[in-house]
Amino acid sequence: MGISNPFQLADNPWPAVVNQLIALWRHALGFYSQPDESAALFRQSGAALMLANYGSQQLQLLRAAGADVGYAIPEEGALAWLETGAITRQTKNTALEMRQGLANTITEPSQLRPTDRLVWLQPVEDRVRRQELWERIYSGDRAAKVLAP
Amino acid sequence: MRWGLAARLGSVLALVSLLMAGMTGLYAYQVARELLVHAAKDELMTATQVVARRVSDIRQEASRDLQLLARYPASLALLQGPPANQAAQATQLATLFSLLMRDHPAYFQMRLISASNYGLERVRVDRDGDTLLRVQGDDLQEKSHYPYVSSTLKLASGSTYLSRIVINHERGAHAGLGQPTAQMAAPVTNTQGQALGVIVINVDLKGAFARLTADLPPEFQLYLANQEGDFLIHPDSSKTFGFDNGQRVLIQHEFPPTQALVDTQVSQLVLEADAGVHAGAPMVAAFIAQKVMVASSESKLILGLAQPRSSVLNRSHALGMTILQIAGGLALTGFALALLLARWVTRPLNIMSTAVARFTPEQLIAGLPVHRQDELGQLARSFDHMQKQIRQQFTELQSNRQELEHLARHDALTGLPNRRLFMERLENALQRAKRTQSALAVMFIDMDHFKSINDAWGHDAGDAALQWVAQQLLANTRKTDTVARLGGDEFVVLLESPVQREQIDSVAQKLLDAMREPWFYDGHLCSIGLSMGISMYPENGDTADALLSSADSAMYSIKSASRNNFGFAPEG
Repeated sequence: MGISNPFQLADNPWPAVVNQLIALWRHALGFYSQPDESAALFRQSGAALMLANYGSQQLQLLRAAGADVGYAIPEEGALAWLETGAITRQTKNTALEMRQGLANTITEPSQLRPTDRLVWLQPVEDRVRRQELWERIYSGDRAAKVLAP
Repeated sequence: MRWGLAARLGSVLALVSLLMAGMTGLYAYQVARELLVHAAKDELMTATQVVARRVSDIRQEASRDLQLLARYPASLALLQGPPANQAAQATQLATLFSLLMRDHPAYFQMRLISASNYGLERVRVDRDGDTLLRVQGDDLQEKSHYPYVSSTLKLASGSTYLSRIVINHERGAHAGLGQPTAQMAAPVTNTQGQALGVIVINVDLKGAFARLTADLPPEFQLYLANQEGDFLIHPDSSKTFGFDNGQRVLIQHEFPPTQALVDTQVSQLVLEADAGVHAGAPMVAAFIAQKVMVASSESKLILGLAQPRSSVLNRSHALGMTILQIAGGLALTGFALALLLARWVTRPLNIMSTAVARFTPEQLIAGLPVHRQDELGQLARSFDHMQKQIRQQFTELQSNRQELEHLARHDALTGLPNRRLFMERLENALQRAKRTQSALAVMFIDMDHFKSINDAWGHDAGDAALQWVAQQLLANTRKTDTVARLGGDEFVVLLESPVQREQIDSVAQKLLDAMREPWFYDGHLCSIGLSMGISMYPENGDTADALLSSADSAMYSIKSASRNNFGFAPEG
């Protein structure tokens, strides 16, 4: 869309951004909130493409469920963020680590190629407004309603 | 303190009765308590099944409403008919929705959604507080990406879809916004079987369950979890829909045995939770995994009811008190019976012991319980038998002793007192005579020619002669006088007062005369004569020996002089 910094939008590109999001949204089959849910949705609906925002965790789940899937970073790049957590040596509940199946940040993931573009998350200009807009789009409001004050 | 048999027996029996009552009470309490807990668990499971049945009923009812609406001509007409009539049809449907929602407080929202226009809502009625609100125009939203639309559109006519139970984040949902919601939907199909839209009912999960469990006892707690175990309903609402904010609060973590339900190993279970968060107040809980029979993203729901174990056990406390009272009563009765029994056993024993203590050979024991038919009667009869034997032996012993005593003091041949008895009597007589200052006399008598009788006719003749002499002496003296045989052919006579010289003379003469009576031995006439020496008290001495020896000397004087005569000891 020719926007140089997607994290800091000025006032004028908003209608275009909302329309674009609604257009994208209208072509989506469904949305998920949990990795397990995403794997089930992927398999039940016979989906071809899924935005895997849980990353390697979902890849692991889908492969465990027998899906023939690959993991790729789109040309435009993928949003990336780093969540850190540590498990102490004395921890008793090691099930937590196994359950989450999170990617290890010490070693390079095999799915990443050196040419892949990762866009690191940045603070946005107005978090509350962006959330409100997205919730409206997600609820199925049409453009006029989404952009209403 | 001395413990008598009664006290000991009584206390042992009382202890035994106390122990028995206590043990029986304890055992009965434990068994009854277990039965009660078991019954309570059964009741809890039944209550859970009832709630599950009601949930199923609600679902079926919603299904029926959905099917009715899906087949309602205005629904299809609105989706495929000419736009001219659509406003009237929409109003008609909205009215119908409102009527149904008024009847069903658990319905948050009812909608007709078209398959076209990205799932645009065509008719929508929301609950907003106490009122029902028809949403129209720009407020209608596109819902094609929601599974309750996309999945339901794929279903055959007459099917029902149940969504996952989540927090409803759809903006503008009024009362339902932010509330736990399940969407139920049915496709509206045309005659070719093509789904043109869906009818959707949003069910208020919290409200529905609150009404379901309103008539359950207040201490009952309701749990609902989805197929993965995420809590949907929990007494602590902060534990519900953890996945909605990126957490997992799972039933199998709080109640570990429910893992089997999540893994579909069992379909229902009863458990006692007393660890973790329930350590302080242990719970008894029943869980049922209910399969979702309609097309759904939820394959099953886990429904549970829990109740504090204390409320289950409260009933057993009342039971415990009753059992305690019964056991206490039994123990007291046992105690009293033990005392009575101890008394009953020891009373005859005490009677016997008192009776036996009074036992003397002279007096037989009376009052022994010999007529009893038990062991005590036997003991009493043994005692009775024993005392009779003792008495008989004692009597025999007594007569033997008397006999021995007689033998020791009498002459066996003649039956007369012997020297020992004579000396005693002489001593006694002397004492009396000294005290009363009276006189007494001692006659020493020797048979004349005794040896020749022995020699002529043998010892038997001698013995017979001695016996005859003894008889004659006895016959011719007073009863108060003592005739004794000193040994061999020597006799002695003690004459007690009143004794005067003339009387003694006549007695002596009488004795000599008595010998003159004819006496035959074996056809032979035997002549027997006596030589008598007489001493007097106090003239011839004041001791027995002195008197006897004086008489003896006097007798010898006669024997050597004339025989068959008597003479007095010389005075001085």
